[in-house]
Amino acid sequence: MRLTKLMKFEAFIVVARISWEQKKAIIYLNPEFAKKNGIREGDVVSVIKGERKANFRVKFLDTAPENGGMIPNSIYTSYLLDFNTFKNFRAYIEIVEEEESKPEEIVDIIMNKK
Amino acid sequence: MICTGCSCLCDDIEFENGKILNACEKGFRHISGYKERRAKNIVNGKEVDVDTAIDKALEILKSTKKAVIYGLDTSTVEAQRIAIKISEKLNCYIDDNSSFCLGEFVEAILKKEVPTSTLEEVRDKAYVILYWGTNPYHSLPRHMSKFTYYPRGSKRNRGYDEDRFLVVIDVRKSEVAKLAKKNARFIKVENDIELIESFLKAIEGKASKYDVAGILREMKRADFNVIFGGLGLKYGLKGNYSYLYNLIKKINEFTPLFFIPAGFHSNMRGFNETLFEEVRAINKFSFLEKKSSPSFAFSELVKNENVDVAMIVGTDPLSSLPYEVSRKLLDMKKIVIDPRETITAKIAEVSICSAFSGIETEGEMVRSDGIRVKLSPIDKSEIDDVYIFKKILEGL
Ligand code: SF4
Repeated sequence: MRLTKLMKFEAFIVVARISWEQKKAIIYLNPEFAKKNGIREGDVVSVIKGERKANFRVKFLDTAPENGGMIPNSIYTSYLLDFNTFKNFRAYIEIVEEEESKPEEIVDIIMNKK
Repeated sequence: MICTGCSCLCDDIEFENGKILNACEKGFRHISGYKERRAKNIVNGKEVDVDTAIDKALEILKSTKKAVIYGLDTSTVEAQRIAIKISEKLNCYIDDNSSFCLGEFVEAILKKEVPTSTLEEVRDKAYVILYWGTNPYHSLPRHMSKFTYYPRGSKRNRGYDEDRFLVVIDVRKSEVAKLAKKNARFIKVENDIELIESFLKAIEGKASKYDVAGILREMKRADFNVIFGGLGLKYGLKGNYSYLYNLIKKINEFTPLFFIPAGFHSNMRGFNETLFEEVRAINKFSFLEKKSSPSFAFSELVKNENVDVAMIVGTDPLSSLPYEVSRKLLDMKKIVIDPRETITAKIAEVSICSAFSGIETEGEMVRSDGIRVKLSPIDKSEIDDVYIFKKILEGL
């Protein structure tokens, strides 16, 4: 059992456009930040913002912010955010033993929570 | 062919032996993948022919007094004009993505509050090229190679590492920020307003939080400098746009500095200009109240339940707008017109498959710097936005 699986980390997350097609829920973490917090490439992390959360598969990217990561513009970021935090936000992340979120799951949440 | 993959509207796309030449990866995907994941004509979950779907859309639009037409940023100017006529006829609201994207910057340019220029002028003359809150590597992939930093211009012919000075301002060291090495600066910004204050202090020769005096010195050496402002800058200003415009004005007192917005849908500027020509407003307009207002932004109308029908064109609000807005979309009737299958279309009462502007339909678009571009499609679809909107307009 990895000790870091029990911990939550605060992260600064930038929401950015990417040019390649992005369907999956992926968070690009700064490699140094991830290693410091015991997160490995391929892990699934929950990004928790207030009452809402979504799961993302971790990839490393050295252009991600030093103290966190980058998530491409997507239904996942739209679900987590409001207009005040549309381009970047602070959130908690934790390693989970679950799959990454799917668009249909987010749609279901949106439809049920109305 | 003109690529309509982003607001660069690159005009040098060619085809040779089945290969697409000159496009970036984003453009290549946009052009080569246009037949994939196409929308279907659907009414209440059942597939129908296009005219039945248009008839149902008409029925819904006629049944309400509180409609909004939203999107249109990938439609041609010709289609946008008809959509504006539909809004006028319905006495309803019309808005596009610019109300949460870079609309304020385009508005300032159209109202001549900031000096602007064209990408060709930038290529030929610009010395300091400042990207603020935008990462063209992803959003406008050929911006730097075709128009701004890398090409030799008529007055900048010694190559980028001698004849350009690159400045990148961003919250992170993005791909473009990594290019800031020789003759360049990267500023990692935490607070855009404080950065503007630093520039203003540096103009007065005072010390400040961010060290920007060197950038101003470089600007003074040239007779043409430019800021490309993106979404990061817009949101960093937190509504205080006049701070930025005042800074540009102050710098122009001692050296020429132009401003061009950077990073939006292929014809967002076209929508802003087309609506501006008609009603002197660029977005969030009510034909009933004959004015534009922040409360008429699509997101506000939906959030505050001020509309009960939305005709959504070429955009996917369920996946692109915050939860507080998207959850309210469920409470209204939705007509989605899009060439591509979208998440919003899946929950819409009516979905109509349209054509890809520039690939399957001709017309005009407006580049990010205001240059009008005639599209040259490689395919032809009878059913495009113009066809659909004309039918709706005639039926009203
Ligand atoms: S930069 Fe934009 S317009 Fe040019 S080829 Fe790439 S996607 Fe198309």
